[in-house]
Amino acid sequence: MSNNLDSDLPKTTKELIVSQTAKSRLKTSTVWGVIIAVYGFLMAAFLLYNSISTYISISRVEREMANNPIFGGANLGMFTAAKIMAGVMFVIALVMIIPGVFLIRYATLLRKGINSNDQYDFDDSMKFLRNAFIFAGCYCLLTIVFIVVYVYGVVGGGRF
Amino acid sequence: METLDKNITSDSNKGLTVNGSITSYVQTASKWTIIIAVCLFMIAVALIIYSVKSISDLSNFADVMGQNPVIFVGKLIAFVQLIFGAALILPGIFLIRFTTSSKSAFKTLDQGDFDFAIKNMRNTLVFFAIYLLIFLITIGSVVYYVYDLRNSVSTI
Repeated sequence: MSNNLDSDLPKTTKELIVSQTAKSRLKTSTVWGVIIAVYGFLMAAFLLYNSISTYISISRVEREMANNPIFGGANLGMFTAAKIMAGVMFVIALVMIIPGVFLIRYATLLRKGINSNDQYDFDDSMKFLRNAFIFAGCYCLLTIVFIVVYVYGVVGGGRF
Repeated sequence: METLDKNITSDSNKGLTVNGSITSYVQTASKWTIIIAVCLFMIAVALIIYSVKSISDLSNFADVMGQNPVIFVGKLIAFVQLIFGAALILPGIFLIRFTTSSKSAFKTLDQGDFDFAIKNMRNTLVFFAIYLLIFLITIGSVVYYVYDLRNSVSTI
């Protein structure tokens, strides 16, 4: 009788649960998520250092050239371009911290949620995972745009 | 008060469920993962074409100029780029599987599909962590090799 009742139930009344297998897989994903976040922070730190040191070096060379009579105090546009590039690098470095924060938050909340069976923490962890994917999607789209611009500039510019 | 406490305890013992919020978050994530997958495929194809073209051009150049270490390093870099480009197809497949199985899980409430979606999401994260590690080691090795080569050329 019970079996008959179960089979009579439409599939849509069932509720999806987070099974033990899913929990174990999610826990594994948190470890790798943290590793990716650490890479992100390292890359951001390198980029920050690089952009600041580039800006300082360019400013120093520019000052030297402006004071040097041989160059006649010429203000070359390349210095401005280099400074803008250093600025862009600085902004990219700051932006690269964001997905790392999302992944760390995802990992901590998910572990907490699974260990204490807390639905709120689990929901929040999924929100941060979604944010990380949204960020990655935007980043990928921007990369494609840059590749297209680069190919157009190098291949198209050389040909036409 | 006691009744409320009892309810809290029973709720926390109930186990985690896939509620409306999670469904919404995963559905939004799955839309973006499709975009990421398409971008990854495009980047992979672009890298493969570029690497094959570079290797072919360098081979032609070597036929004219003769073999030298610079051409060898160029070919090595192009080959490494080819492998890294081809590897990017794998997370694209994982992400597409994540999207399709999560959509199917929410539509049919199939537990197996949901577990499979989670598995593919985990695989994507595992892949990228290992990919980045190998990428950093490779970049470091190539830079070291080129630097070493430059020193040996300047000594000669």
